[in-house]
Amino acid sequence: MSTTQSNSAEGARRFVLAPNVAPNWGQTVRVFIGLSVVCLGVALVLTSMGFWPVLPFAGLELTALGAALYVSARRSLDREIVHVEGAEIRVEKGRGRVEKTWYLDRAWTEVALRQLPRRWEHTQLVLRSRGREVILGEFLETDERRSLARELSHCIGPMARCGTGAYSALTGADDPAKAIGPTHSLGERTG
Amino acid sequence: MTATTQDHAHHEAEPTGLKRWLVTTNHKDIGSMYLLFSLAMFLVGGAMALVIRAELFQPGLQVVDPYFFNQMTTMHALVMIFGAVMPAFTGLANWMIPLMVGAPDMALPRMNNWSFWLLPFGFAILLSTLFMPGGGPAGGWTMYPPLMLQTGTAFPFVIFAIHVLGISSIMGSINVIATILNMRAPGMTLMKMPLFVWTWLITAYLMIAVMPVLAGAITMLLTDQYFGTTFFSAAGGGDPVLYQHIFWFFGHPEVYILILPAFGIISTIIPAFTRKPLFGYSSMVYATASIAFLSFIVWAHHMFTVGMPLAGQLFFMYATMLIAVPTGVKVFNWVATMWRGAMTFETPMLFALAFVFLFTIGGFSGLMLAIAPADFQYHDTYFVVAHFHYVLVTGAVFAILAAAYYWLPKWTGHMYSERLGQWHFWLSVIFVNVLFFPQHFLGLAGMPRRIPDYSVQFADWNMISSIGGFGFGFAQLIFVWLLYKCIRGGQKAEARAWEGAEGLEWEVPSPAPHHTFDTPPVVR
Repeated sequence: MSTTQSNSAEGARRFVLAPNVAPNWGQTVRVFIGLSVVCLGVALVLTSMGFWPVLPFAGLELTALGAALYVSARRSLDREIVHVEGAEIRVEKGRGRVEKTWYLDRAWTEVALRQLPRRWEHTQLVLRSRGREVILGEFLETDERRSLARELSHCIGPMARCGTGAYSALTGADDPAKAIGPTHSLGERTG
Repeated sequence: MTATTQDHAHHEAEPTGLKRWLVTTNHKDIGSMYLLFSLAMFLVGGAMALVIRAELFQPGLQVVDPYFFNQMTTMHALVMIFGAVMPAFTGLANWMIPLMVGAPDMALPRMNNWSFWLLPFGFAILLSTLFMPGGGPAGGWTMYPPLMLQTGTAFPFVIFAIHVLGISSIMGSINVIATILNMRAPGMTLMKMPLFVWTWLITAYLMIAVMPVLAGAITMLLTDQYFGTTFFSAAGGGDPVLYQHIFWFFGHPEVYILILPAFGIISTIIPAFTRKPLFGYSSMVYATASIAFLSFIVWAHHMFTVGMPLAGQLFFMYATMLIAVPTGVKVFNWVATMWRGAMTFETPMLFALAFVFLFTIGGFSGLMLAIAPADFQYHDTYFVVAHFHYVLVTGAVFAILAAAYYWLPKWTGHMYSERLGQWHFWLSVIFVNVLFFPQHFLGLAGMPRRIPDYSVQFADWNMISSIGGFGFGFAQLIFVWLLYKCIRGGQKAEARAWEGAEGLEWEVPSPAPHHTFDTPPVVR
């Protein structure tokens, strides 16, 4: 899921990218504890009767369940925020807090949507600037990534579109974002 | 400040060919694979059933030798339970739960892919045992020792295959629980979830709770056979009856694992074709949870005849009878939903109605079996066979067929042929009763189960039952043909394929796009 926020007075724009999950952690913990009590309770009773092989299976299974619930719930905290303001683009990534920040020069930043080599893999949305790349929105769906690429390229400006004139000449489209094809990146099209 | 949500104008070209299916993490692809695998196993298990019914067509040994007959009864059960019914429900869960809760996919898509691909691997091992020296397993699906330990080369392969199938089931359940708890659309509280989602959550809970018991039990069989332990050998201080206790502690909840999602399906279909909301939604949820709880404390009704103390027999008898209360709540709620509804009788509704009527017959024969002193007469007779086939075939399988007809337009984007659907229903419902109802009479008259030959007084009803079996089996080919036609083309289905259908799955186009709900819908 991605949302954008803009402050028209200051000309600033903020893109917030988050996975589409909304867990209720308390509820998840209660269900897990409820299951663990039953599952381990049964396994311990059987172990006390001498049937100990049930216990490791119960332990393995609950570990897998706990890990699955934890991993899927933790994903809800993933955020990627792209601030576009003045001459700068700031990208922040993190889980629950800002863990990594990139500063890119707006005038030299290109938005690329590239198809990964294996056909069944997703496309990848990349911000490129002076030889550096920041991959964005890996948890987004393909369509949503494409839509975000379009909006980012609009927002960032001419370099993101890799030269409006060149684009129009190549594609006949006034809006370069519309020219993003299903399997080509902006970068590839403009060479 | 303004906030806008992204729109989705284009669709990515999806990968095609074998690799798409091999590595897919899309819940719809995986759901389709589960359902097609289940259909294939249904036909394989059905063919085994026809071998059994061909042998029982008349007294004497005509078609197969008794040892192969026993392999058929064992494999028929294992294939139908672990290969047909459970994967069908998992396939339905994969397809429908993300759509119903407004999620883009299952919570753990890669694990979802693994849990499916373990199934063909497990079944390849299991079915290959039929060609091994000494043949496949022949001790019944319950695998009681010491009989099961007499299996030939196939024994460790069977145990390994069941472990693999168990791992697949556990991974499927973990995914269902994580999806339901962590991926619901904003506003969809637990008590707003569709009944199908609720019943699957409780089913997954049951599976997680009891699968380690099965895994432990069959591992102990393996160590008894090869590693010198004596868990179930009286000679070494063990007790074979304790295997039965452990097995049925898994086995009885397993029965509910096979039927609870069916309750969810019927609770979805009946309101759609009566054009009324489900009567008593909350009571349905609590009834499902009650059935799940009771399923843990009734296991010994499968083994009244092993010699239990009177107090034990009484406890398990009354606990079993208690299950009739929440089950009755469900049946009355379905009937109350239909009461004064604007009912129409398309194929999904016909199967749902047949479910309510025929599953209730299976429930009543279950009550008869719950009576401990009467069970001494019925135990291990064809009455038991009739009972569980009414529950599992006219219960679980009919619900799966109802679900397939109900959601086929959403899956394929085409309406199925209603004429073929009606033929399929009427032939199925007639022949299934010809097949299983006489087995009540056979059982009450004392015909034991799992025998290839029988006394001549049982000949007439067995012949009728076999005719029903072949009729029911061949009637399913209509469904295969209907399915093929529906996938290939047909009348275009609208987003809301059924006038009275409610739920988020009907808000997306038919067929459902490869990726749904990038932006979560808001449930009010």
